[in-house]
Amino acid sequence: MRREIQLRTRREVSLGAVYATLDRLESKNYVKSSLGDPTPERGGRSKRFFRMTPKGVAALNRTHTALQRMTEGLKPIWSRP
Amino acid sequence: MNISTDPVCPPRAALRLLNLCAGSAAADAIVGDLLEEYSAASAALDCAAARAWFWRETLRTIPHLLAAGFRSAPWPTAAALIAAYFLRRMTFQVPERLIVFILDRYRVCDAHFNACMFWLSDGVVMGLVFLCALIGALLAIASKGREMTVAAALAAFQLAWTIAGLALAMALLPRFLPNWTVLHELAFSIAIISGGALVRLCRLRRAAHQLAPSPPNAS
Repeated sequence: MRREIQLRTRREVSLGAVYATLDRLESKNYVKSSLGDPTPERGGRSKRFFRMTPKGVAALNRTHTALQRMTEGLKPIWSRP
Repeated sequence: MNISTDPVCPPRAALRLLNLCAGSAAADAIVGDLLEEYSAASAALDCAAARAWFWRETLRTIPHLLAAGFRSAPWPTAAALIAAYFLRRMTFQVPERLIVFILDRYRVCDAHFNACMFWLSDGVVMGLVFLCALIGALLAIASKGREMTVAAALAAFQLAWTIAGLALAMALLPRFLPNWTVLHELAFSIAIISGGALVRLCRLRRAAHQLAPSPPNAS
Protein backbone atom coordinates (compact mmCIF):
# COMPACT_ATOMS: atom_id res chain seq x y z
CA MET A 1 0.00 0.00 0.00
CA ARG A 2 2.83 2.34 0.94
CA ARG A 3 4.72 1.56 -2.29
CA GLU A 4 1.59 2.28 -4.31
CA ILE A 5 1.09 5.65 -2.56
CA GLN A 6 4.74 6.55 -3.16
CA LEU A 7 4.48 5.59 -6.83
CA ARG A 8 1.31 7.56 -7.40
CA THR A 9 2.12 10.67 -5.38
CA ARG A 10 5.91 10.59 -5.97
CA ARG A 11 6.42 11.38 -2.30
CA GLU A 12 8.11 9.56 0.59
CA VAL A 13 5.50 8.22 2.98
CA SER A 14 6.41 6.62 6.29
CA LEU A 15 4.86 3.33 7.26
CA GLY A 16 3.70 4.82 10.54
CA ALA A 17 1.81 7.57 8.71
CA VAL A 18 0.02 4.98 6.55
CA TYR A 19 -0.97 2.97 9.62
CA ALA A 20 -2.06 6.09 11.53
CA THR A 21 -4.44 6.93 8.67
CA LEU A 22 -5.69 3.35 8.45
CA ASP A 23 -6.26 3.28 12.22
CA ARG A 24 -8.34 6.44 11.99
CA LEU A 25 -10.34 4.95 9.10
CA GLU A 26 -10.87 1.79 11.12
CA SER A 27 -12.07 3.77 14.16
CA LYS A 28 -14.70 5.34 11.87
CA ASN A 29 -15.68 1.89 10.54
CA TYR A 30 -14.55 2.70 7.00
CA VAL A 31 -12.14 -0.24 6.92
CA LYS A 32 -11.77 -3.44 8.89
CA SER A 33 -8.49 -5.16 9.67
CA SER A 34 -7.52 -8.72 10.46
CA LEU A 35 -4.19 -10.37 11.27
CA GLY A 36 -2.73 -13.04 8.98
CA ASP A 37 -0.26 -15.80 9.75
CA PRO A 38 3.27 -14.93 10.89
CA THR A 39 6.04 -15.49 8.31
CA PRO A 40 9.86 -15.80 8.68
CA GLU A 41 10.63 -12.80 6.42
CA ARG A 42 8.49 -10.73 8.77
CA GLY A 43 10.52 -11.89 11.77
CA GLY A 44 7.65 -14.14 12.90
CA ARG A 45 5.16 -11.28 12.93
CA SER A 46 1.67 -11.33 11.52
CA LYS A 47 0.57 -9.28 8.53
CA ARG A 48 -2.37 -6.93 9.00
CA PHE A 49 -4.89 -7.05 6.15
CA PHE A 50 -7.36 -4.23 5.52
CA ARG A 51 -10.72 -4.47 3.79
CA MET A 52 -13.13 -1.65 2.99
CA THR A 53 -16.56 -1.77 4.59
CA PRO A 54 -19.77 -0.76 2.72
CA LYS A 55 -19.75 2.42 4.84
CA GLY A 56 -16.17 3.10 3.67
CA VAL A 57 -17.06 2.52 0.01
CA ALA A 58 -20.01 4.94 0.31
CA ALA A 59 -17.78 7.57 2.00
CA LEU A 60 -15.12 7.14 -0.71
CA ASN A 61 -17.72 7.59 -3.45
CA ARG A 62 -19.02 10.74 -1.77
CA THR A 63 -15.54 12.20 -1.34
CA HIS A 64 -14.49 11.33 -4.89
CA THR A 65 -17.63 12.90 -6.34
CA ALA A 66 -17.14 16.03 -4.21
CA LEU A 67 -13.49 16.34 -5.33
CA GLN A 68 -14.48 15.92 -8.98
CA ARG A 69 -17.14 18.63 -8.62
CA MET A 70 -14.69 20.98 -6.93
CA THR A 71 -12.07 20.62 -9.66
CA GLU A 72 -14.50 20.57 -12.60
CA GLY A 73 -13.59 23.20 -15.15
CA LEU A 74 -10.47 24.30 -13.27
CA LYS A 75 -7.85 22.53 -15.40
CA PRO A 76 -7.89 25.14 -18.22
CA ILE A 77 -7.16 27.81 -15.58
CA TRP A 78 -4.17 26.15 -13.90
CA SER A 79 -2.72 24.79 -17.13
CA ARG A 80 -2.79 28.30 -18.67
CA PRO A 81 0.80 29.61 -19.13
CA MET B 1 29.37 -5.15 12.84
CA ASN B 2 26.36 -6.60 14.54
CA ILE B 3 24.56 -8.87 12.14
CA SER B 4 21.89 -11.06 13.64
CA THR B 5 21.30 -14.65 12.63
CA ASP B 6 17.60 -14.38 11.75
CA PRO B 7 16.60 -14.65 8.05
CA VAL B 8 16.29 -10.91 7.34
CA CYS B 9 19.28 -9.67 9.46
CA PRO B 10 18.31 -6.03 10.05
CA PRO B 11 20.46 -3.87 12.37
CA ARG B 12 19.96 -5.34 15.83
CA ALA B 13 19.89 -2.04 17.71
CA ALA B 14 17.20 -0.65 15.39
CA LEU B 15 15.15 -3.81 15.75
CA ARG B 16 15.46 -3.63 19.54
CA LEU B 17 14.26 -0.02 19.47
CA LEU B 18 11.28 -1.03 17.34
CA ASN B 19 10.45 -3.94 19.64
CA LEU B 20 10.62 -1.63 22.64
CA CYS B 21 8.18 0.83 21.11
CA ALA B 22 5.78 -1.64 19.45
CA GLY B 23 3.32 -2.53 22.16
CA SER B 24 0.14 -3.79 20.56
CA ALA B 25 -0.44 -6.45 17.88
CA ALA B 26 -1.19 -3.63 15.44
CA ALA B 27 2.20 -2.03 16.15
CA ASP B 28 3.81 -5.45 15.77
CA ALA B 29 2.37 -5.59 12.25
CA ILE B 30 4.18 -2.32 11.42
CA VAL B 31 7.48 -3.87 12.53
CA GLY B 32 6.66 -6.95 10.43
CA ASP B 33 6.02 -4.74 7.37
CA LEU B 34 9.35 -2.98 7.90
CA LEU B 35 11.17 -6.32 8.12
CA GLU B 36 9.45 -7.56 4.98
CA GLU B 37 10.40 -4.38 3.11
CA TYR B 38 13.92 -4.68 4.49
CA SER B 39 14.32 -8.17 3.04
CA ALA B 40 13.26 -6.75 -0.36
CA ALA B 41 15.56 -3.72 0.07
CA SER B 42 18.55 -5.86 1.06
CA ALA B 43 18.10 -7.87 -2.15
CA ALA B 44 18.05 -4.68 -4.24
CA LEU B 45 20.61 -2.53 -2.37
CA ASP B 46 24.05 -3.23 -0.92
CA CYS B 47 24.27 -4.14 2.77
CA ALA B 48 25.25 -0.67 4.06
CA ALA B 49 22.52 1.08 2.07
CA ALA B 50 19.90 -1.45 3.22
CA ARG B 51 20.94 -0.99 6.84
CA ALA B 52 20.85 2.81 6.47
CA TRP B 53 17.38 2.48 4.94
CA PHE B 54 16.24 0.38 7.89
CA TRP B 55 17.60 2.88 10.41
CA ARG B 56 15.92 5.77 8.60
CA GLU B 57 12.60 3.97 8.50
CA THR B 58 12.95 2.95 12.17
CA LEU B 59 13.46 6.53 13.28
CA ARG B 60 10.51 7.68 11.15
CA THR B 61 8.27 4.91 12.47
CA ILE B 62 8.98 5.22 16.21
CA PRO B 63 6.92 8.42 16.76
CA HIS B 64 3.97 6.70 15.07
CA LEU B 65 4.38 3.59 17.21
CA LEU B 66 4.35 5.76 20.33
CA ALA B 67 1.30 7.64 19.08
CA ALA B 68 -0.41 4.32 18.27
CA GLY B 69 0.11 3.32 21.90
CA PHE B 70 -1.66 6.50 23.01
CA ARG B 71 -4.51 6.03 20.51
CA SER B 72 -5.10 2.44 21.67
CA ALA B 73 -6.18 3.67 25.14
CA PRO B 74 -6.17 7.47 25.36
CA TRP B 75 -7.94 7.95 28.70
CA PRO B 76 -6.04 5.36 30.79
CA THR B 77 -2.79 6.65 29.26
CA ALA B 78 -3.64 10.27 30.09
CA ALA B 79 -4.71 9.29 33.64
CA ALA B 80 -1.45 7.36 34.20
CA LEU B 81 0.56 10.32 32.89
CA ILE B 82 -1.18 12.82 35.18
CA ALA B 83 -0.75 10.51 38.18
CA ALA B 84 2.95 10.01 37.38
CA TYR B 85 3.47 13.74 36.96
CA PHE B 86 1.99 14.49 40.38
CA LEU B 87 3.89 11.59 41.94
CA ARG B 88 7.08 13.11 40.55
CA ARG B 89 6.14 16.54 41.97
CA MET B 90 5.22 15.13 45.38
CA THR B 91 8.34 12.99 45.77
CA PHE B 92 10.77 15.53 44.35
CA GLN B 93 12.26 16.38 47.76
CA VAL B 94 12.41 12.80 49.05
CA PRO B 95 16.03 12.05 47.95
CA GLU B 96 17.33 15.28 49.48
CA ARG B 97 15.48 14.72 52.76
CA LEU B 98 16.64 11.13 52.91
CA ILE B 99 20.28 12.08 52.30
CA VAL B 100 20.14 14.89 54.89
CA PHE B 101 18.54 12.50 57.38
CA ILE B 102 21.26 9.85 56.87
CA LEU B 103 24.09 12.42 57.01
CA ASP B 104 22.62 13.82 60.25
CA ARG B 105 21.96 10.41 61.75
CA TYR B 106 25.54 9.18 61.25
CA ARG B 107 27.16 12.63 61.70
CA VAL B 108 28.97 12.28 58.37
CA CYS B 109 29.52 16.02 57.97
CA ASP B 110 31.53 16.24 61.22
CA ALA B 111 33.98 13.52 60.21
CA HIS B 112 34.02 13.67 56.39
CA PHE B 113 33.23 17.15 55.15
CA ASN B 114 34.06 16.46 51.49
CA ALA B 115 31.92 13.34 51.39
CA CYS B 116 29.12 15.30 53.03
CA MET B 117 29.33 18.00 50.34
CA PHE B 118 29.38 15.36 47.61
CA TRP B 119 26.21 13.72 48.90
CA LEU B 120 24.44 17.05 49.39
CA SER B 121 25.13 18.15 45.80
CA ASP B 122 25.80 15.27 43.38
CA GLY B 123 24.20 12.70 45.69
CA VAL B 124 20.88 14.54 45.57
CA VAL B 125 21.02 14.65 41.76
CA MET B 126 21.82 10.92 41.62
CA GLY B 127 18.93 10.25 44.00
CA LEU B 128 16.61 12.22 41.76
CA VAL B 129 17.80 10.29 38.69
CA PHE B 130 17.08 7.04 40.52
CA LEU B 131 13.67 8.36 41.62
CA CYS B 132 12.81 9.32 38.03
CA ALA B 133 13.80 5.84 36.80
CA LEU B 134 11.56 4.37 39.50
CA ILE B 135 8.62 6.60 38.48
CA GLY B 136 9.18 5.65 34.82
CA ALA B 137 9.14 1.97 35.79
CA LEU B 138 5.98 2.37 37.92
CA LEU B 139 4.27 4.23 35.11
CA ALA B 140 5.23 1.47 32.66
CA ILE B 141 3.99 -1.23 35.05
CA ALA B 142 0.62 0.56 35.22
CA SER B 143 0.41 0.87 31.41
CA LYS B 144 0.90 -2.60 30.00
CA GLY B 145 1.51 -2.60 26.24
CA ARG B 146 2.09 1.16 26.20
CA GLU B 147 5.22 1.31 28.38
CA MET B 148 7.36 3.39 26.04
CA THR B 149 4.48 5.65 25.03
CA VAL B 150 3.84 6.76 28.62
CA ALA B 151 7.49 6.96 29.60
CA ALA B 152 8.44 8.99 26.52
CA ALA B 153 5.39 11.26 26.94
CA LEU B 154 6.19 12.02 30.59
CA ALA B 155 9.86 12.63 29.80
CA ALA B 156 9.02 14.90 26.86
CA PHE B 157 6.43 16.83 28.88
CA GLN B 158 8.84 17.33 31.76
CA LEU B 159 11.63 18.51 29.50
CA ALA B 160 9.32 20.81 27.54
CA TRP B 161 7.98 22.29 30.82
CA THR B 162 11.53 23.01 32.04
CA ILE B 163 12.63 24.56 28.75
CA ALA B 164 9.48 26.72 28.67
CA GLY B 165 10.13 27.83 32.26
CA LEU B 166 13.74 28.69 31.49
CA ALA B 167 12.76 30.59 28.33
CA LEU B 168 10.20 32.57 30.33
CA ALA B 169 12.74 33.31 33.07
CA MET B 170 15.29 34.47 30.49
CA ALA B 171 12.69 36.69 28.85
CA LEU B 172 11.45 38.25 32.10
CA LEU B 173 14.70 38.44 34.08
CA PRO B 174 17.47 40.13 32.08
CA ARG B 175 20.26 38.85 34.35
CA PHE B 176 19.04 35.28 34.44
CA LEU B 177 21.42 32.73 32.93
CA PRO B 178 20.46 29.08 32.35
CA ASN B 179 22.36 26.85 34.78
CA TRP B 180 22.69 23.09 35.14
CA THR B 181 18.90 22.72 35.41
CA VAL B 182 18.48 21.81 31.73
CA LEU B 183 21.15 19.11 31.91
CA HIS B 184 19.66 17.75 35.14
CA GLU B 185 16.18 17.68 33.62
CA LEU B 186 17.59 15.96 30.53
CA ALA B 187 19.12 13.30 32.80
CA PHE B 188 15.79 12.94 34.66
CA SER B 189 13.94 12.52 31.34
CA ILE B 190 16.42 9.88 30.17
CA ALA B 191 16.00 8.12 33.53
CA ILE B 192 12.19 8.04 33.12
CA ILE B 193 12.54 6.54 29.62
CA SER B 194 15.12 4.04 30.92
CA GLY B 195 12.74 2.95 33.71
CA GLY B 196 9.97 2.40 31.18
CA ALA B 197 12.32 0.57 28.81
CA LEU B 198 13.47 -1.74 31.60
CA VAL B 199 9.90 -2.79 32.38
CA ARG B 200 9.16 -3.25 28.68
CA LEU B 201 12.30 -5.39 28.24
CA CYS B 202 11.34 -7.56 31.23
CA ARG B 203 7.86 -8.09 29.78
CA LEU B 204 9.27 -8.90 26.33
CA ARG B 205 11.67 -11.46 27.85
CA ARG B 206 8.90 -13.03 29.91
CA ALA B 207 6.65 -13.24 26.83
CA ALA B 208 9.47 -14.81 24.77
CA HIS B 209 10.16 -17.26 27.60
CA GLN B 210 6.50 -18.29 27.75
CA LEU B 211 6.37 -18.76 23.95
CA ALA B 212 9.59 -20.82 23.81
CA PRO B 213 8.95 -24.60 23.54
CA SER B 214 9.74 -26.49 26.74
CA PRO B 215 12.74 -28.91 26.51
CA PRO B 216 11.88 -32.58 25.96
CA ASN B 217 11.74 -34.75 29.07
CA ALA B 218 15.02 -36.64 29.65
CA SER B 219 13.27 -39.77 30.91
